[in-house]
Amino acid sequence: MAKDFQQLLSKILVAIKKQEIRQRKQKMLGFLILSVLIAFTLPFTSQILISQINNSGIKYFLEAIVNDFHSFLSFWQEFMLAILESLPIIAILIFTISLEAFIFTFRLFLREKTFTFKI
Amino acid sequence: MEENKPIKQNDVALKVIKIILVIIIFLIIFRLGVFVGETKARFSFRWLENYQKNFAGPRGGFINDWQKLPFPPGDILEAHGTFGKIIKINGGDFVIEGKGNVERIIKVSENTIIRSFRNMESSLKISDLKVGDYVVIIGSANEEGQIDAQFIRVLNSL
Repeated sequence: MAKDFQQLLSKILVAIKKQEIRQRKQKMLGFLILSVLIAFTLPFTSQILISQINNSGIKYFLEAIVNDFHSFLSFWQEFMLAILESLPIIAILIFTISLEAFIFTFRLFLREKTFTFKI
Repeated sequence: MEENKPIKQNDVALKVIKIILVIIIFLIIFRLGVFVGETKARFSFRWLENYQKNFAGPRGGFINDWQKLPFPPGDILEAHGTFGKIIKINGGDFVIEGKGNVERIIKVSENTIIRSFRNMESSLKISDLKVGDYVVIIGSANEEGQIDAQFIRVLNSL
């Protein structure tokens, strides 16, 4: 009687683990697909960011700072405001969000993968 | 059991301090954004309002209603720094064609520092500038929608 109960219990435990592995694999696949999809957007968003930075003129202001640091110290407020005004906020936001989303989903995928292979 | 209590209280206090710091940083960034946005919007408004005076003719044409004047192409204009090609020089000021092909008047005073990209040390005068030169300007906006230049860097090309 006790042996039957033990067998039944182990069967139930195995079934639970199998179900858990199946669910984790599904999640892993989902996160993998999601991270790949987001990874495809990264080149576009980075391209937008690069073109916006080129158009904004930030590099000229930074060049001016690097080449003439003494003048930067004299007019630091104007320099900082010029840089702040020309920051491509939208492009930075889009790129940061896509990068964050990629890192987040990829980490979830790795976590699910680790758990699945531990089981 | 009782020894853990102060540690937990410290953790809570640290979390609260962190949250407050994050909120303060966000508020500073938000306030900075509002300030920069306001400055740009004010300058863009003055630039548009003084377009006829500065460039002899409204951007939208003489017949158009001033309220229906088209906004400058692209983003709102920057008030503290710009770059572009010199298209006209008039004594104490010059006109550049900047970002988005928008023309801007740059006022040069005797305190304005003009430096060449080639020769970093030597200072230039406004008479040394030529039409077609590429310049980076740092300054501040005035009431007439112009930029009072404080620092000008002459580049070879953009």
